[in-house]
Amino acid sequence: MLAPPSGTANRFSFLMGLRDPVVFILLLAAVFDGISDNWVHALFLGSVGIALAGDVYRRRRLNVTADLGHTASSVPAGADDAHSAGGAAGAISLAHGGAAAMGEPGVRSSSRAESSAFWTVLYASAGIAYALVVGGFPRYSWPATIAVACLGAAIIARGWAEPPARVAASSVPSRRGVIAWAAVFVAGALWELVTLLLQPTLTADSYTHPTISVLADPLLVTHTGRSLALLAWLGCGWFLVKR
Amino acid sequence: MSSRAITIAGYVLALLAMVALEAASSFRRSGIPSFGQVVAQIMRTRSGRVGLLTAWAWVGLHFFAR
Repeated sequence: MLAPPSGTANRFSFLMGLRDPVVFILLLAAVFDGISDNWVHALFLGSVGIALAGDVYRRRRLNVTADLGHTASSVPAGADDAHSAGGAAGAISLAHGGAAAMGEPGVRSSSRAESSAFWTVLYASAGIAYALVVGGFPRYSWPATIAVACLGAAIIARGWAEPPARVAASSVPSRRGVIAWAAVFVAGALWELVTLLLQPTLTADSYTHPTISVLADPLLVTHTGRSLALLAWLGCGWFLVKR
Repeated sequence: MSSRAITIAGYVLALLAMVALEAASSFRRSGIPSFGQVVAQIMRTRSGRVGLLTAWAWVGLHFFAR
């Protein structure tokens, strides 16, 4: 059983949110973006990091309260939303099951498929329109900044509020496999970091040691190139949201 | 081989490693999950979900925003 949070413990408990690895990475990235003079990026990452730290702290407090009241077993931070989502998913599946039992399953599934296809076409059209319009704005301009930041914030907010999907035990990836993927991504990120540090300064590009963004510059000079890159970016966002 | 070529080769190597892992994931015996499975696992928790979506948003900001 955990100790009840006292006044002093409460203040320090907020700092406990900073121990979440995602919060730590976001705040560290915000600091690096800040010293690289990318203040919009730093503000964006820092805001999400601080909000997430507050959320982690709030969820841990809720766990402590529930534990003290003997209403719930000790649930690790991060698993609580999966736990509640399990309930929500169960409720949804029960609602669907009940509806299917009352109605005609064949007609209902066909109707759902049509509705899903409709929304897919709508989102795809909106994505193409967004890429064409925003791709027309010059890079690093305020219109492009506002368009990208607003869409990013909206998708993060959606992900924040949405209960996670339940992953079947059989599809949980092996530890070895996750380490293999993590190793490749960390190696790639370190290579990019080394390249960044080999530039004359953090804000000056280098032909000899090009970062990925420097290599992408020729593509992003034209409207078509920017629109294609935005479409790829939106596609990645779609891939994440659908998980 | 110039420094520029070595730098670019490093990126290509990382990309090839990702392609190799994704290809290996199609063989069950390898024990390697697909990229989608790893992402789905990370997206199970709120911290993971917010972290990945913020990383995605940051990529957009990095290439297009001030």
